[in-house]
Amino acid sequence: MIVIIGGGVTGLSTAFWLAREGHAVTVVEKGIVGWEASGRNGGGCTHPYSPLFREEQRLWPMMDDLLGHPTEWRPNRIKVALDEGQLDRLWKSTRLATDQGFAAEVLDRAALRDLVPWVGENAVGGILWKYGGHANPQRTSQAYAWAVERHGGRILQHTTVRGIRTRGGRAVAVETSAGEIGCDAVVIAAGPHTAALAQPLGHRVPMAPARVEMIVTEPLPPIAMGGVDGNGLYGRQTLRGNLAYGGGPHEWIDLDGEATPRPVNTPVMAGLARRLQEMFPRLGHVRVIRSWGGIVENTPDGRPILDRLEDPANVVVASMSSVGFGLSPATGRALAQLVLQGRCDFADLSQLKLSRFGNLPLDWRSRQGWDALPV
Amino acid sequence: MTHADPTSIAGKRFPLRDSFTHVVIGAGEAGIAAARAAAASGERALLVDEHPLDPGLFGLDIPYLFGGRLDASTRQAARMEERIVAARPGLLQAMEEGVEVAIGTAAWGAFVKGPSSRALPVRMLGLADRDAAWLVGFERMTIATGARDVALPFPGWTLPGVMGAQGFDAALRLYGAFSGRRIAIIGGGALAQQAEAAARGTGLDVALRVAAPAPLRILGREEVTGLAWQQDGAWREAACDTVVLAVDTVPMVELPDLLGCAIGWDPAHGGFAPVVDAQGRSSLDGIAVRGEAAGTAAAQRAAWLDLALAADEALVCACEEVSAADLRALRPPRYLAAEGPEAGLARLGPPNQDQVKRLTRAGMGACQGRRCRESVHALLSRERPAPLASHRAPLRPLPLSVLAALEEDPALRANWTGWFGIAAQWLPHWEPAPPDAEYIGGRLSGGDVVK
Repeated sequence: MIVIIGGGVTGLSTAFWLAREGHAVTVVEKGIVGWEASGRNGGGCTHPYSPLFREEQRLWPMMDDLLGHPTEWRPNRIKVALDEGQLDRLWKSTRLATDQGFAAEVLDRAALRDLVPWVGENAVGGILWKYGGHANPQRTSQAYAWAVERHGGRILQHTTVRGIRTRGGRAVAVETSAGEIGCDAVVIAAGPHTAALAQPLGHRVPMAPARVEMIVTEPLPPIAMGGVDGNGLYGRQTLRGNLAYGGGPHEWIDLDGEATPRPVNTPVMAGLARRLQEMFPRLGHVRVIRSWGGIVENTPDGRPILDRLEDPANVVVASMSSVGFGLSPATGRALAQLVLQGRCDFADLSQLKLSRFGNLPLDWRSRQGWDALPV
Repeated sequence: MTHADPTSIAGKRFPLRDSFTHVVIGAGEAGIAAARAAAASGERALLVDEHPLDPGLFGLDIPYLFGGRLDASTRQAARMEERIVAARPGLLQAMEEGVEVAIGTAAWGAFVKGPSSRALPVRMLGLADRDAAWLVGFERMTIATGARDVALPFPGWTLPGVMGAQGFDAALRLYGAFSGRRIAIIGGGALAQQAEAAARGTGLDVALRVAAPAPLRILGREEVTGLAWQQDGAWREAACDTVVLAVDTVPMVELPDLLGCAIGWDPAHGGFAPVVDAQGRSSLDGIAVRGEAAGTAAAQRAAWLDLALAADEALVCACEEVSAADLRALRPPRYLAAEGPEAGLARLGPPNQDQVKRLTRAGMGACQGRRCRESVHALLSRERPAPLASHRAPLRPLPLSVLAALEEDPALRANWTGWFGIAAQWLPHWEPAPPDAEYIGGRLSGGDVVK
């Protein structure tokens, strides 16, 4: 029995790949699957700086079939630049993908306008990424969960993990609010709660939780490629037609026990509207109908920790450091391999080990300016 | 801490247009009384009311089920303001007593310090008129937003001419702009009796009132032309141009929920109602809820909703076109042309309205779920009441241009990033993180970060 702690996309995808190969898995989720950051993010599937990028790109076109439920994935991204500085940074990020053989195309203002009728005269141009894409985070999270169950895996919702029992250098059971589950291996993929779960095992997993927020508008007629963003925003036009965008200041917080705090919105949401209207000046009349927040975690260098521990030797620790949704098809497959064979055979994860933080000072959050303010 | 992460919210200002010791939301009887009492005790009080509404909201049935039965005079803002003031004489009294009054002003958000919003320096209320959004500071708040309509998804309920009791009352008495002539009233309680009395008092033709729960069909192609109801096993029909759904109303708990006030399921008080003491004080210090926002009278809602929802084809969510059958099957939205899980709703475990919303889109539309909240909740609460579906800002749909007009701290703009501000996050993860890397994530300008 492989127990996966955390019913977000990372844990669910790991469970999916394991269950698909016939392994017995149980996912333990303290609330509802995909309820936290996994189900409420920008839906981007474009991460060329990750060693999992190629696998991300290979897998997304197959996910609907693999999971047996629509993820609403659509290919390609369009980046909009409102000044030369934005365009310059966009090209720097584009080169990460083109250096790996993926294609991108310059869009002058007219070409950009053809693809995205909402942009105005203030756009200097853009880039069409013939890679990457976007999907519906909540629907995808649920699709993973149903696929896990269809392959014989078990998902325990509303069940909290109290601890991991070890014997002779191995995890032997996971203690939960619904009783103890004996295990042959454990994956801790509990987002910002991962640190607290790993700590009793003698491992410091450095991470800082933060709140971020997004807004969404009423639906507009869908344009051909909805994965459009820029101007300090990430987001997309959903298949239904709504514009869902985030960005701007995050808030570093602290967790208080095993619950995740309610992620509220702040007046930053007006800043999102401002940036969206700057990017799409023809859409000033479009109504914002909702906003939401989410709690994510970041490691000190903002990069994932995907590591199988040496002691206990059958525990894998996984944090995607605030960028987990889009990579999840590939991450889950990599983590399944870490569980089963101790190494990933399709991506170089050597820089994503926990040991890189071995010399991290205890007050690293303060030094980075990441302390939470008092409540 | 050396210095706070400049791309975080820490240290950012949120410019306020003004500050008050006491803000009162909703200028009905309860709100006017609260504002006058606050002014009398020396508080600097602001009383806001969203009426007269932005005309676009009538069509979205926000905040009431208006059913397209308000005439064109509602497009004339100045005339409507005069009517609102005339309909509520207490407003002028409050003004004379020193209350600052803002009508045509919607309260779309409230922002207070909490476990995930530690950086908010003071309590802030988000307000907006037709042109711009702004913030005011406050210490205490009285929420007197009243109640809104409960829609019953009988066949034909989305036709122009189907209104709620609150929408009918506002059209008649607040706006003086009701455009119907011959009405049918649904409901057997005080709400329906009041609607009938108001209709007769203004000389309207009341075709009939259906008092006891019965299957209904609202007739018409382009708009309401009649009502059919079942009685003793036979369908009967009457001609009318308006159907007033006056079975029940529900406390408007958007603001208390947004603020994090405790809210409980209490069918004796209209469903979800804030937990308040005898003085109207909520679970949150300094936040009171008064009038119908704190609870409405018990009514026959459950029996009527059961009848309406029994039909698979009942159109529960009009914005997103989700039927009762779609909900029971947990079917993805139509544009995906996919089926839900075999077991349907039962697959989810304890039903949660927010989760069902995201899977089916019921409640996700432009009316912000006002027309279907109670129907979806009833459908999910066969065994026990499902938890309250969350409310999020903006509590009224706001055009991008209006929300974008909110004044912004220049330091917030200068430090804006698309996602955190961690340079190494955006560079190849198969190489060690370089020191002093350039941040190539989304930034607004090439300018230096403001420390």
